[in-house]
Amino acid sequence: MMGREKVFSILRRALRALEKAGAEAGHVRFYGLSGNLTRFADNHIHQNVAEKDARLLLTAIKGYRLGAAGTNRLDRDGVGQAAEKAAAITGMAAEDPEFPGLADPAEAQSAAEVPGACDPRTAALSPGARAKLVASATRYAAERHAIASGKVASGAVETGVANSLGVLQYASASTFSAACTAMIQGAAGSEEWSAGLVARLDASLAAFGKEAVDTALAGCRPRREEPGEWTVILAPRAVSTLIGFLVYLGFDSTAHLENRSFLAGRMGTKVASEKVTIVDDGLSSDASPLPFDLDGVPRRPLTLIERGVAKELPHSLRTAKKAGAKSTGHSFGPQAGGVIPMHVLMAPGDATLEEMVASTKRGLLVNRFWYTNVAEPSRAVITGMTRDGLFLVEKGRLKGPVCNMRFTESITDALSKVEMVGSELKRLGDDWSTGAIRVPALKLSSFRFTGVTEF
Amino acid sequence: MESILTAALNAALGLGASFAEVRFVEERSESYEIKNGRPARAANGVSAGLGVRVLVRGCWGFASAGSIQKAGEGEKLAAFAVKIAGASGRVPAAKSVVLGPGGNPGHSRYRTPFKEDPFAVGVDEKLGLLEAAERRLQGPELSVTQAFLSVFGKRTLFANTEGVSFEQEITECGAGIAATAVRGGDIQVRSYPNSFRGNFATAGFEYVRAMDLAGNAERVAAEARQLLDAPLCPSGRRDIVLDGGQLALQIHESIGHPIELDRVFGTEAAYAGTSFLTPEKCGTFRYGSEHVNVVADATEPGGLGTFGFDDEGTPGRRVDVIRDGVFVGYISDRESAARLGLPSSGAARADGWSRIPLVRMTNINLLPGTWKLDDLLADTEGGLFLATNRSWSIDDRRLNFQFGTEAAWEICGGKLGKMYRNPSYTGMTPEFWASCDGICSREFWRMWGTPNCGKGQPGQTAHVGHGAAPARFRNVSVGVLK
Repeated sequence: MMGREKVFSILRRALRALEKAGAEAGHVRFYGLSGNLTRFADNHIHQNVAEKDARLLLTAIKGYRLGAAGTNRLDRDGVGQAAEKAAAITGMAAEDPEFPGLADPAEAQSAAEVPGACDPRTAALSPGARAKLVASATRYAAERHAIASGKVASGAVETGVANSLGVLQYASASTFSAACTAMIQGAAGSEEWSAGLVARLDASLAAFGKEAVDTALAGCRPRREEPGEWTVILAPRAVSTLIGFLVYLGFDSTAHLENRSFLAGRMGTKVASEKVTIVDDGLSSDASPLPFDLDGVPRRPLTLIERGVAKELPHSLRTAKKAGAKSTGHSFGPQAGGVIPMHVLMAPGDATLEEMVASTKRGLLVNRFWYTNVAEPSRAVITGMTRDGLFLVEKGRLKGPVCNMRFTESITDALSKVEMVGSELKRLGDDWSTGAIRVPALKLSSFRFTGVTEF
Repeated sequence: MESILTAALNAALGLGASFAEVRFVEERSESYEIKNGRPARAANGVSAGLGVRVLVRGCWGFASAGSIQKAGEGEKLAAFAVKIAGASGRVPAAKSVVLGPGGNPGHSRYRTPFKEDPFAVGVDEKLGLLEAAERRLQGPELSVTQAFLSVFGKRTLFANTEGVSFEQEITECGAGIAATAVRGGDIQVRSYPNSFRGNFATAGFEYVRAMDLAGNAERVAAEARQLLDAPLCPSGRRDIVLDGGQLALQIHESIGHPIELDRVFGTEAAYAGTSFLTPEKCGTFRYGSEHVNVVADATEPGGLGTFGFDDEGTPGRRVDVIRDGVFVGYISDRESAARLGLPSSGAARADGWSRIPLVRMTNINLLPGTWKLDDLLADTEGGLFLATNRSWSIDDRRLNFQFGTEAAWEICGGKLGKMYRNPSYTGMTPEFWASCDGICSREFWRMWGTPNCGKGQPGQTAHVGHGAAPARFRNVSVGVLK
């Protein structure tokens, strides 16, 4: 961790280098990382890594011409060379008439760090502490003749943004995630945990590996069921796939402006069940916060879907100018393409998973989707496989494991059939990055499976 | 830098490591995009750093840091790596890590051969090439028109405690165009020469010049518009011919990944998945029809998986994977190969200085057959020709797959007839490859670059290649989208 003042010093030096290189204006982004990750497989640690890096992305601006150069050499020469390269591009690139200009410091005042976003204990978690967590999972698995695999990752990221108009932003965040997949007799189960502060997970991690192993044990000797329309109970990790693709395909304001989003022209209309409410909140400590975007504009919480109605789109300075709107603080930088919410929080309901099962005559309980991809963007149709636990539900009870299936389904069709929303929320996030998704379990009256495997 | 590497190795040995390797990697990149008549991206970047991997009492540790320049920093990383390896030993395997034979001791060099250094070509010329192509894409109903160009360079200095060292400079470039047509809620994309930013090779700028992006732009734009009026791809079982670009991704997902030996041993079980291709199948398992011959070939000129040495110092080589339809060999690194008593296939590849080598594809090539494309189409009456990948998905053991392509054409009277939109097909890996009964000849065979292959935690992106010519598959389930 470099800390606020050192990052500011580096950002200012980079802006001076851009000016010296002949840029009329400049924008600089800083990203610092200290990341550690312990990986295990076959009940032992097989990969164990650490990384430290800090890099800058300098954007030189001459009128409406932009050029960018990145470097992880932060000494005077390294920064100077990057500035020269960025400035040189502006002499050769055509004008970008859609460039909105830099963030104005009057509207992009320094954002306060979210309290508790960077936890020293989490950031400094030792290899020994990670190994201790791994050992608890592998021991539990080995005692039950299961094979455990997974990871425990911890670290801290620092983000800084500055521009030649005077915008200066800094934030730091700690990250922690742990995942375990257990296999026995060809069956698998898995679990996943993520938080900015590892202390929030202390209770869950005390039994790290148990959920995965118990699911795998329950998944042995699956029976084959036919694909088709099924009532489904989606555990939070399966829901996160649907909501992640919904946000990616439906709430990218660049795609809206280019008329290539399936929600283009449908904002303000009903796109999901009224049981569905989703917000984006980059200031929430539950979503690995980053209180400003990479234009340097403070983030504003957004209501993406309220009781099934699509409400607000995120904006960068660039998309805001084109749409005649104000930036909401969702940019990935002056030359970035997409503008997508990254701190996605779905509102909980009042049902327990047990109540969802008890209310189901015949259906499938899906633990997780895997390798999902967009099959048809215009209808938000995605396809993927089930993995790590698929169970038949009959007459309100779990009946037993089922062979994995392929689904091919429209996200909006699926979300229009929400019958129950879980009361418990699960947060999921990537290693060593800000942004996260937090979702409950869902029960859908119908969901389309199109294929089946033998395992 | 050599002295920093040597000091790091000595420090690791002094602190108790039985083996150590160090890699200093310096990466350069350039990326350009013209979108809807304006420059959407003009950027370059450099990233350099050092990674130290050690074995201590049979357990691995790895530490890395960017921008290493001073003496003493390598030793610090080595010490941290040894400490991490010590923590790995708290959850040890039943058997310690054993490494099979690696490269020969001594210093070697490799450099991608090329005619025209792509980094030396001016930014204005690169942007001019894209602008000319993108201008010819523009037209009615095209919501987005794009032209892309990327250049990538990677210089590696490697040394290990077995006396193996090398210096390697890899140079890659690639480009492409894409048109997105939109009408009434329908969205259709056509691309050239491949989707997702084009095609890529280890080559000089002569590779990009030969693409003739501008010469293909009007066809691409027209086909994107035609797709808006095309009927939906029919559902049912049909004979299909896949173009080289789509077949490359089919090879990638249903052959390239399952033959990774580390995956077979479960090292990716919690993330990228495992493989149906368990060790007892090697030498006996019928992967496909007798027409299917596949090699992993790091020596194939121009492939994105072409190099002199992998990231363990093993020389790049060609190994058989499928011979006359029978599975005969994995791709491997020193650790996974040793578990089968075999030498590494030379497929240990790391994504830059901050990542450890994993078993990654090199160039996984489906060897050419004997058909001319016109003859194959004439012999496939009533079938479908599917072109250019749009979507991909496969289960975690690499069996149940589903692909979508940008476009399909009915094969009628020996020629391509009616165009269909939203084509898709699905199947199971061995059944699908068993249905292959015709592969086009060397004349139609080319290398396809996949620069975005993901694996590992923390995530790694590999640049891999696939040689393929159009091929026919019988009685495949198509039209999964309703």
